[in-house]
Amino acid sequence: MALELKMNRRTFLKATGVAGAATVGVISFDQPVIKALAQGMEAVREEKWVSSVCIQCPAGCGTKVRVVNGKAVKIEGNPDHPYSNGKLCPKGYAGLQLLYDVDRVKSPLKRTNPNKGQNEDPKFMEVSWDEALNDIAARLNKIRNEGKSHTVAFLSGRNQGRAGSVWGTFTTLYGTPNNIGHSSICADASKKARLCIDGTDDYCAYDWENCNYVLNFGGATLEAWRPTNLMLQKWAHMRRGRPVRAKQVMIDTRFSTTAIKADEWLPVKPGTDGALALGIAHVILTEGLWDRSFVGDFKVKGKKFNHGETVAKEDFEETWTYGLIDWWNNVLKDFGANKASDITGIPGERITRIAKEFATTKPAIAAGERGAGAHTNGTYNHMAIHALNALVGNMFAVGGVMYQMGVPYASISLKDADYMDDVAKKVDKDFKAHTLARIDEAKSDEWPIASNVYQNVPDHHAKGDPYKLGMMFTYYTNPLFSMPNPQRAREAFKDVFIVETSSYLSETALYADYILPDAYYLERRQDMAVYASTGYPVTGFRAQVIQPIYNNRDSVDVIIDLGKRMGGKMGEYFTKLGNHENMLREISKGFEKTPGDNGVNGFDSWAEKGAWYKKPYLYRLSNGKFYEWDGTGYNKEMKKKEEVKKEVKDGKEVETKVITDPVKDKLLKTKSGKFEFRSSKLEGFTDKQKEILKSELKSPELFAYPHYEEPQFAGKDEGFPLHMSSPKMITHAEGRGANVQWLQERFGIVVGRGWNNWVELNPDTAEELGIKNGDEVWVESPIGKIKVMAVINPGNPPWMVVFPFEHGHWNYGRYAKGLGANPNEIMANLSAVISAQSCTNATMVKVYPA
Amino acid sequence: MVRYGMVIDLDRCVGCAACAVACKAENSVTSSTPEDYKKRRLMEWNRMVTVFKGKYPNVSASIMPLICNHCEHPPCVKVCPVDATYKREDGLVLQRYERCIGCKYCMVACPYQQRFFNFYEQEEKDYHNPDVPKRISGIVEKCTFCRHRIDKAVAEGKKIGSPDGVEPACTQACPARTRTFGDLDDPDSEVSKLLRSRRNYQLRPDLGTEPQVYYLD
Amino acid sequence: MEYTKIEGRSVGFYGIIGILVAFMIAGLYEFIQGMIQGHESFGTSNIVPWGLPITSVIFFIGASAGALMLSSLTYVFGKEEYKPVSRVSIFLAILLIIGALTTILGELGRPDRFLNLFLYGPENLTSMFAVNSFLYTGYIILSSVYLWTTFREDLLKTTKLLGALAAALAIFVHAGTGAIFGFIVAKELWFSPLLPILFIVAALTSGVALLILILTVTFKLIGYKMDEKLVVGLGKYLTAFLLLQLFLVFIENIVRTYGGMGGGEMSKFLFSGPYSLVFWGIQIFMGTVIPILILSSRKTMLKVQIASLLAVIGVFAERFSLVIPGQSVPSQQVVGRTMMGLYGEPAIYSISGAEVAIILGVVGAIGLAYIIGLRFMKLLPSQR
Ligand SMILES: Nc1nc2c(c(=O)[nH]1)N[C@H]1C(S)=C(S)[C@@H](COP(=O)(O)OP(=O)(O)OC[C@H]3O[C@@H](n4cnc5c(=O)[nH]c(N)nc54)[C@H](O)[C@@H]3O)O[C@H]1N2
Ligand SMILES: Nc1nc2c(c(=O)[nH]1)N[C@H]1C(S)=C(S)[C@@H](COP(=O)(O)OP(=O)(O)OC[C@H]3O[C@@H](n4cnc5c(=O)[nH]c(N)nc54)[C@H](O)[C@@H]3O)O[C@H]1N2
Ligand code: SF4
Ligand code: SF4
Ligand code: SF4
Ligand code: SF4
Ligand code: SF4
Ligand SMILES: [Mo]
Repeated sequence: MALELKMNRRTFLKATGVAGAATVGVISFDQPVIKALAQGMEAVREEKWVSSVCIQCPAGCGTKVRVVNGKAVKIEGNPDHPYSNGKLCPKGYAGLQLLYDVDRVKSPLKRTNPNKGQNEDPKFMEVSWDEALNDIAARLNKIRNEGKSHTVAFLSGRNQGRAGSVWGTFTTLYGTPNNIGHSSICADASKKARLCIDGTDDYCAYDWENCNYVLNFGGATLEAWRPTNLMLQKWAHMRRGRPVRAKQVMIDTRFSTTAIKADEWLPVKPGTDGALALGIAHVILTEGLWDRSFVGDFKVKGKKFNHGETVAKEDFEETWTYGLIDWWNNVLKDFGANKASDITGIPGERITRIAKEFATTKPAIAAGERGAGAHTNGTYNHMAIHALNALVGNMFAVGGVMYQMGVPYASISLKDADYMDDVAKKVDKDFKAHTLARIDEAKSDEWPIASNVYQNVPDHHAKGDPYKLGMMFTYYTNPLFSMPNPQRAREAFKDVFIVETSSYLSETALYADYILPDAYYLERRQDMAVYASTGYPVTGFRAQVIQPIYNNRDSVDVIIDLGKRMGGKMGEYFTKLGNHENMLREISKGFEKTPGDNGVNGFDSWAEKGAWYKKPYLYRLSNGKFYEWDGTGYNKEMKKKEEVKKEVKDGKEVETKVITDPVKDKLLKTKSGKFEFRSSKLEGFTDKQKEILKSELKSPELFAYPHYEEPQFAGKDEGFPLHMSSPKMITHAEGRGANVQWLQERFGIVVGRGWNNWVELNPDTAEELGIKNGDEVWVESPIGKIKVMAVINPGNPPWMVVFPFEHGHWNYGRYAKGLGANPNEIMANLSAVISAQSCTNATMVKVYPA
Repeated sequence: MVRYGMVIDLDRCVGCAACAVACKAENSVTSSTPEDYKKRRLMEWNRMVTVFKGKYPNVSASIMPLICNHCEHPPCVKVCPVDATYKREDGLVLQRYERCIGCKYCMVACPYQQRFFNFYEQEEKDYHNPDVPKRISGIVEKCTFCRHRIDKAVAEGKKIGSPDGVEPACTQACPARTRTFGDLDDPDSEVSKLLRSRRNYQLRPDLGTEPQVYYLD
Repeated sequence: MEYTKIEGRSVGFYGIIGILVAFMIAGLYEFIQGMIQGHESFGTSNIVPWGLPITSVIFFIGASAGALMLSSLTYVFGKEEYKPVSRVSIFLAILLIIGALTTILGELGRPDRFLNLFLYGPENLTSMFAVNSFLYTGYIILSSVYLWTTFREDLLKTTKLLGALAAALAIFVHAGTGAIFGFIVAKELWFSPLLPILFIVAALTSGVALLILILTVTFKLIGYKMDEKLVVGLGKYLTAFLLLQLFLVFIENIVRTYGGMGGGEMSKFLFSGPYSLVFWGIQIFMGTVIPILILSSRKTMLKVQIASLLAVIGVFAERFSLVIPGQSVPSQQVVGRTMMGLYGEPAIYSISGAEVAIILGVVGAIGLAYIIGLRFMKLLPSQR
C-alpha cells in the first residue's frame, strides 16, 4: 500500500491538480490527499473561486468565495476590490456559518396562529411561493381598492443595489409614501449635519492614505464605523505603511479597542463632542491657525480673533466659507478651551494642545459617527465637528474630506412615472402637497429634512396618527429588536399584517404573517455601490456563489414577481422589467462607456471580477483653488463663470446671463456654494418648521449654527446616575450576527468574553455598588430594567455603563436565542432634532446587584 | 535549512480577530456552542487576549493574537508518549492525529495553552475545508502553521512566505498586515528583515521554549 | 509461617462482590460511553484537561509503591513482625498499579490506541509518560515474580533480591510519576525538583495507611486476630511519613510564595481560591495535622485505623490540590500582565459523574481481584 502511494503521488498530483501531500518531512496518513488517494476517492474535485460582496455590515467589501464540489468552503477578500484589497474584517470571513446555518427559514411560511406576541408560537405552515404571493397580491389589491394603499409600509435596512430601486418602484407604483429605511436608527446625524453645512446628504469620504492626523469623535474606527475593513487596513497603513506616522486621536466615552490602540484617547463626557469641537475651533481661530486660503482672512493684516471679542463682518473676507464671523460672534467667541473643558471633562490645556496639533499637522481630518451623533444634540455635534474640516481647509484637499462619487450605471429604461396609475399619482400628489403624511412623519414640518423617522413608526401606528398601518413589509431590518425600546413595536405591530423577507427567524419574523425567505447573500446576485470612503466610485458585484440550498428566492425577484401578480400598470411594469438579472445587465451597460480601471466593461466582466471602480477622484482643492481632473491631471480650475447666452425667442434675440459655478454644482452644494458656518439650509426652513424645531432647542437663537446644544438624557432628572452607551463590537454584524458561532465565541475581544453580552463598569463604580466581575446585575432606566452580567473594565470612566448591542434575542435560531440582554429594551426612544437620529447613547441608568 | 516563523507587529494589529475567524474557517476548527464556552472547551488555534495595566484615567492595554509558537524546544513534543506531536525539519510543530492517544500530556505541558482536546467527534459541516482532515473525538489538535497550504505550495514549487508568497490563512487574512510569515533562516526573508529592524520579543522567553513567533510593539 | 485461602461462602462475601461488580459495571458503562461519545460528560476542559482520574492514578501508583516498599520490611530487611501482611502487600501493590493503568486507560481520549504507547513510546523517551509506561510494565512483571517467589520457601534468597529490586523500582516508578508533573515548566505548582521526593513520601504515607485499613478490615472480616503491636508499629511509620510530608509541602509552598513567582497568583489561588478548602481543610488539617495529633498520643488499634483513614483521604486531597489547582490558573503569556476576562480567569474543574464512575469501576475491579486473589491464593496468614 505504502509503496503504491509513493509511486502514484506524482501522477496523482498532476492529474488532479490537488496537492497538499506532506512532501516535506514525514508523510502521515492524516493528510487528506494521501487519505483520499488511499481510499481511491475524491479523485476529481471541482473547485472554483467566485466573486461576491459581503453584507455583514454596510461597507460592501468584495469577496472571493472558494467553492468545492458545490459547497462554499472559504470566503476571502477580493484583491480586485478597492475596499477589500484581498482582506476582510472578521465578519466577512464568517459568512459561511450564516449560509449553512441550521436554523434558516427553508421555505415560504404562513402564519396560522392569528395571535401575536413574544411568547406566541406563530404555528408557521410551509406554503408554496405561488400560494403566498397570490394571497399577498390579493390582499394588497384589496387594500388599494379600499383607497388605503398608503397604509402599506415597507421597512428596510440593507436594501443594497437593485433591492433599493425595486422596492422604491413598488411603493411608488402601488401608491404609498411609506418606503421607510432604517437610516434614522443608523447614522443620519452625520449625514444631515453635512447636508446643513456643506450641502451633501451623505457620509464623508476620506483620503486616509495621505492624512497625517485624525481627530475622531465617536466613530469606532477599529470596531464599527464604515467601511470597517478598509478602516482597519488604512489604520495600519497610516501607522507603519509609510514614512510618516499619522497620529490617531480617539474621542470616545469608553476605553474601546480604538481608544486602546489610538495614540491618544480623550475620554469625553457623553454628548459633549460638539463642545469639544467648538473649543478646538476657538483655539484654531484665536491662535490664528485657520487655513487662510480656504477660509479667507482679515482684510487688515494682523487683526486677530480675540477671546470674548466680536469681530465686525466687514473686517473679514471669506473665500470658500460662509458665515464665519456670525458663527464667531454668536457661538465661538466665548467658547474657549476652558469652557469646553468644563463641559467635556477634558483639561483645557489638552484641548488647546490637540487643537494646535490638529491645525498644524497637515493634512488632518476631523470625523466621527454615532458616538457624537446618537445624542439628542447629535446633528449639531456633527456640524461642529465637520466645521473643523473647513477651518483647516481640508475639504477636497489631499489627505482631506470628500464626498463619494456615484457609479455611472446606465439607467433602467422603464420609467416609474409612465406606469403610475391614478391611485399612485394621487398618493404622490397628496404626499408632495403635505396632505398625506408618511407614517413616521418624515418630511413633515417637524422633520423637514429627516430621511426617515423609523423609530417612531410604532408610536404613530399605535395612536393611529396620522393613520393606522394595514400591512408592512420588512426587508433586512428587525424593528422588533434593533430600535430603542422595541417593546413599543412589539405591542403596536400585533395588529399589522407583516410580510417578512428574512431567511432567519428574527424577532420580526415571529410576528410575520408570511415569511418569504430571501436567498442568502451568497446565493443571490446583487450590485453594491459602496458606502462613502474612497471618494472615487466603486461598485461590487455579488455573483451567485452557489444555488439556493433550500426553497429560498432572491427578494428582488420575489418583489418583481409580486408586482407582476398585482396586475394593472404595475403588473405591466414588472412584467417588462422581467427579473433582477435583467436589471443588473441593464445598469451595467453604463460600464461600456466608462470601463473600470480593472477592465470591467459590462455585465460579464463585472460579475467575474466582482468590482468596477474608477480612479482617481475627480476634484481637488489646492492652495485655495478647486481643480477638476482632466484626464491627465488636476488641471482644470473650477471657476465661476458668467456667460451671456443669446437666444432667439419669438423672433427676438434675448440675452440671458448664465452663471455656472462648478464648485457649487459639484462640491459645495449649499445655497451660497460655500462651506456654511451659518446654515442657509436651516435658515431656509419655513417659519412653521423653524418654530417647531426651535421649540425643541435649549439655544433656539443658535438654530442655524454649529453649536453646542445641551444634550438631553432620559432618566437624568429621575435619579439615574450613570450614562449608558451601547456600542458595536468588531464581531457584531448589526443585529444579524448573534447566531454566528465564529463571531460569538470571541464576541468581546477587549473584555475577553464570548457568547454573551454584558455591562462594563469602572472598577471603582463597581466596588461602590458592591458588584464583582461576572456578577449578575440589574440595569435599570426609566424604561425598565434588565438583567445582565457585569464586567469590570478598568479603562472605562466611572460614569459610564457600556452595554454592547447584539444579544438578548428571543428568537433568531438556536445559537442566538436566550443569550445576554438587549440594551434597547431599556433605552428611551429619543431622536436628535433635524436628523431624527435615534439616540443610542442618551439613556441614563442605575446598576445594582441582582 | 528552512525554519518557518512568524512576526506579529502589534503596532499594526487592530485587535479585530479576523485572523482568528479565518483560521477557524481554513482549518475547519470545531466551533463552540455556549455550552462549550462555559465549560471552557473552546477550540482556538488562534485567539485574542487583552492585557491591561492600571485603571482609568491612567490605563493602558494591549490586545494580542496568540497562536502556537512552534517552539524551537517544544515541551509538547518532549512529553508526547507516542511521538504523535513532532517537530518537522522546517520548524513546524505538528501533530499526527491518527497516532494521538489523547493522554493530554502535551496540553498540560504547553506553557501557552495552545493545544485543544476534542471532547466529542467533530460534526461534519458543509463549509469545512476539504483539505484538512476531520477530527475524531479524543485527540488533541493545535495550530499547524497551515501546513496544508505550505505543503501544497512546496509541492507546486511556489514561493513561501510573506509578502508575496503563500502564507498561512491568518496571515493572509489580516486586514492590517500585522503578521509576516517566512523563513527565519533566510536573511533576506521579510521576517528576518523585520526582526532586524525593530526590537522584538517572544512570549515567556524565561521558559526556554524558544518560540518561533515573535512580537513587535 | 502458614498461609491460607479464604472461604468465601458467606452472604457478606457475596454482598461485597455484588457491590464491587456494580461499581465495575458503572465504570465500564462510562468507559464505553466515553469511547463512543468522547469525553463530553467529563468535568475537564481545555484549561484543566486532567481531572479526577489522573488524581486517582497517581494516588493508586503511590499507594502501590508504598505497599511494595512496606513488603520489603520483611523480605529485605527481615523484620519478621510484619510478615503476616507482607505477602498480601505485594499482591495489593500489583493490583493497585494495574488499577492505575486501567484508570489511565479510562482517561485516555483514545483508549483504543493504548498500544501505541508500546509501539511508538520508544521513539520518544524524553516523555516521562512513555518512560513510565515501561517502568510500570517492568514493575508489574517484577512484582509478580517477587510475589511468586514468596510462595517458594526454597527461593528465600531470590525473594530478598527481588524484594530489594522491586522496592527500588517502586521508588523509581513513583519518582517517575512525580516527574510527569515535576518536569512541566508550564505549571508553576508542579515545576519543582522536590516534587518526585514529595511523591515518594506521599506514596509511603498512602501505602502504609491504605494497607493498615485494608488489612485490618480484611482480617476482621475473616476473623483473624491481628496483632495490635503490628498495627501500632505501622502507625509509627505512618507518623514519620506524615511529618515528612508536611515538611515537604511546607517547603514547596513557602519557596513558591516567598519567591512570588508569577506575581504570586498561583499561591493565592491555592491558599484562598475555590479549592482552598481541599488544601487547608482536607489535606493539611484533616489529612495531616489531625492524624499526626492522634498518632502522637498513645497508639491503639482504633486510633491508628482512624489516623490511617484520615491520612488516605489527606493524601488523596494532596494529589487533588496538586493536579487540579495546578492547571486551573491560566499560564501567563506576558510576564506581569493579567489577561482580561475568560482567558485570565482560573478554570474551575467540577468533578463529573462519569469520571467518578470510571474510578469506582477501577476500585471495584481492584476489590474484586483482591477478593478473588484471597479466595484462590494463599495470601493471608492462617489462624494460629
Ligand atoms: N463591526 C461592525 N461594524 C459596523 C457595523 C456593525 O454592525 N458591526 N455596522 C455599521 C453601521 S450600520 C454603522 S451605522 C456604523 C456605526 O459606526 P460607529 O458610529 O463607529 O459605531 P457605534 O458603535 O454605534 O458608536 C461608536 C462609538 O461611539 C462611542 N460613544 C458613545 N457615546 C459617545 C459620546 O457621547 N461621544 C463620543 N465621542 N463617543 C461616544 C461608543 O463608545 C462607540 O465606541 O458601523 C458600521 N460598521
Ligand atoms: N443598542 C443599539 N441599537 C442599535 C445600534 C447600536 O449600536 N446599539 N445600532 C443601530 C444601527 S447603526 C443600525 S444600522 C441598526 C440595524 O438594525 P436593523 O436595520 O434592524 O438591522 P438588523 O438588526 O441587522 O436586522 C436585519 C434583519 O435582516 C434579516 N436578514 C438577514 N439576512 C437577510 C437576507 O438575506 N435577506 C433579508 N431579506 N433579510 C435578511 C435578519 O433576519 C434581521 O432580522 O441597529 C441600530 N440599533
Ligand atoms: S467591513 Fe463589513 S462588508 Fe466588509 S468584510 Fe467586514 S462586515 Fe463585511
Ligand atoms: S487579523 Fe491582524 S489586525 Fe486583526 S487581530 Fe489578527 S493580527 Fe491583529
Ligand atoms: S506553543 Fe505549545 S503547542 Fe506550540 S510548540 Fe510550543 S509548546 Fe508546543
Ligand atoms: S494527547 Fe496526543 S499529542 Fe498530546 S501528548 Fe498525548 S498522545 Fe501526544
Ligand atoms: S498559521 Fe494557520 S493554523 Fe496557525 S493560527 Fe494561523 S491560520 Fe491558524
Ligand atoms: Mo447603522
